[in-house]
Amino acid sequence: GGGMAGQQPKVSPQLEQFLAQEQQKVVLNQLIAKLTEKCWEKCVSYPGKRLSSSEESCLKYCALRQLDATQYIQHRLQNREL
Amino acid sequence: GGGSMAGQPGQMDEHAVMAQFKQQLDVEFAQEFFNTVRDKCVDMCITRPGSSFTKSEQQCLAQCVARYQDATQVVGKSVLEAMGVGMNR
Repeated sequence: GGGMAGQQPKVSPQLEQFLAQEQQKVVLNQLIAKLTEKCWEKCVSYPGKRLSSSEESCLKYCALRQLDATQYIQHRLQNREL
Repeated sequence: GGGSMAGQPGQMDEHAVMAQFKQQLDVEFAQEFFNTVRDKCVDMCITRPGSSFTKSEQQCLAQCVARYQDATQVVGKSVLEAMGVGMNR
């Protein structure tokens, strides 16, 4: 098997953890961005001076139902119910 | 300033690496956000393109950007709560 050449810089566990965490944040931010795109279309027809409470509720429920649907469909597929 | 090699060969300045990495991600995210907001707000506000923006179109664009940022916060908060990333733990 191969060994470390000894010339490669050592990556500390701290740096490894940092990179893993940043990677997770990227995935999460992309999910939020995607959900916002979809739910904006469904919930906001014209931009006012602030979001109305119904627009806020719509955005919130839209995002949550989208997440629920992902879980639901995955579960059904796994159990061969679809 | 950029990263510096700390001490022995083979070691890197990890703080510089982390900072640079984070900055690059922030720049990329900002760029994507900008492109999305621009497309959404043009769709929403510019329905009959004229030779220049009308005042109401300008106002719509400005409000659209602000509302889109608000919408991102609302969605972000809901997603984090759903994932059990509690804000009030």
